[in-house]
Amino acid sequence: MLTIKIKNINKNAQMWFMDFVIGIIIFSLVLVTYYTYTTNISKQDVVVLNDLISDSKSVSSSLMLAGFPENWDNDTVQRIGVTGNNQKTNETKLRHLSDIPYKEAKKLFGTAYDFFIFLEDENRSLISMGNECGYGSRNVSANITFKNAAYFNQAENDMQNEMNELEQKLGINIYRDWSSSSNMLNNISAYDFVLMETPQLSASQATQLESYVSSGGFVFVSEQIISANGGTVLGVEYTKRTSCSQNATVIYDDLFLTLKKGDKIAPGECPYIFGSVTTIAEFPDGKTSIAKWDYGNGSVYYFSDFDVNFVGDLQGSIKDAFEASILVCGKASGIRLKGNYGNLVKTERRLLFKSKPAKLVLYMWQ
Amino acid sequence: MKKGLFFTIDSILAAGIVFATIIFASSFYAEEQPIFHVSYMSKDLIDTLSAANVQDISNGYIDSLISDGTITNLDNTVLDQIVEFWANNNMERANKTASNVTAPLVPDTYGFSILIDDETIYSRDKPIAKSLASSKKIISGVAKGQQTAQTRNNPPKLFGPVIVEIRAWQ
Repeated sequence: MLTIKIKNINKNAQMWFMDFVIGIIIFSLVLVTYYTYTTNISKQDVVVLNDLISDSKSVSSSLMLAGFPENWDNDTVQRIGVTGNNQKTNETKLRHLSDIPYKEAKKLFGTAYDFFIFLEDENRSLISMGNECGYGSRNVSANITFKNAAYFNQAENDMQNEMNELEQKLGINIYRDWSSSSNMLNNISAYDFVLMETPQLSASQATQLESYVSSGGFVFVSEQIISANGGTVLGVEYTKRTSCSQNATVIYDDLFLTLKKGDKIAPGECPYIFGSVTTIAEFPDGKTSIAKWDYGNGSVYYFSDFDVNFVGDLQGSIKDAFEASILVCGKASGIRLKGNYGNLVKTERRLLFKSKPAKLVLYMWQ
Repeated sequence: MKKGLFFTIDSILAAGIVFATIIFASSFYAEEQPIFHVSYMSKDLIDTLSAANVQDISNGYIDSLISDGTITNLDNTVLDQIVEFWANNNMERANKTASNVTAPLVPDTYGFSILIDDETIYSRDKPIAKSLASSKKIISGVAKGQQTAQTRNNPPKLFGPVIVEIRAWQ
């Protein structure tokens, strides 16, 4: 009786063991299949990943150099680099980079993969590159906002269409419903950036404008800054000319205004300014036609006229400069990659931007 | 009651085996992280410190040393200045300069150290978990109290050359 009972127990144990072994085999097969075919680190992907790493090393190393030729622009570039071979970011090269079509940049970098490049400062905020907060694939978005901007035109409206285009493109409102120049100057402190077309200010209004700029305001101003034929405003001497038959020549590559050195500009009006400014374009007699300068905590750009005969597009260039001036880039953590991707490699390089530590980040993906 | 107890132990054991297997399989299949970031970190750091002049770099500590007259040669790079402090046996200033300038450049997740001729000037105390990379530069300069523009018959005393090494690790 006892012998029969023991035999029964052993048989039950054998059944349980077989069941266990089969269960483990099925489980292991499922596990191996899962990791082989569904994870993003399968054997094929490792090859792609290594290729991505190699390309991102090559692209980031290229960016950390000066490029070729050393003072390249988007017409002459053969190799893209954004420093002066000295770990210091060259802002002009950043601006030129933003003007290179993305497909062209992929060719120049020698990569087939999509990429996005951005710079971030010590506070992890994005640093603007032209009119964008980074450069590369359109599938990447960053958090951007725009400063309050306004447009004032007294006698001419050469920039009206550009303002309309900007409003549509950026989805912002550029305030322009001023009843008078006094109305504009009384409310100007609500705006970070103002584009003024021949404002013809009185002496007291000029003082109001100076107060706005010195406390951090930013203005683009054209033609007749003041109503008088000459006088001091915003720290420079303004002079009106009665006749105008001179072409101005671009002599300085400005970061905001994408004008090329040597370009000839024929403004409709030829007033000029004199003072401690950075001259961007000058008349043959050495008078300043386009210039920029800092006044207090703010900045000023002056143009003899927005209406010019020019092989390029001065108004388009001013529009781009306007857009770049009001752009505020958000935090680097706001960078989002839309759509699906297989592998992604992030490369970080350290460098200096305006003498402060910064980080150049490259995302590259398949 | 006893059957219920056996069932619970059985399920706990089974669950334990399942979890152990998943963890084991995951660690077996996981790719090791590439180490090139650490290598770039040490290279970029030494290149940046040897490119930035003390008068150009926006740093509160260095600015204070310039304004109180401790730093006299404004053309010195940050690395030159650290070596100069070290050569003058001013280890505290060398250490503070290194830590202040590099703080915003190196994330907290990295360990790193600056050594001059194998003597540690500054070290961020973090254990080495994955990998360590090192970059070196040779620096020399004019010794303290010596003028750069002395005559050939009366040349200034020089210090160095010394090997400055930056190690970065994760």
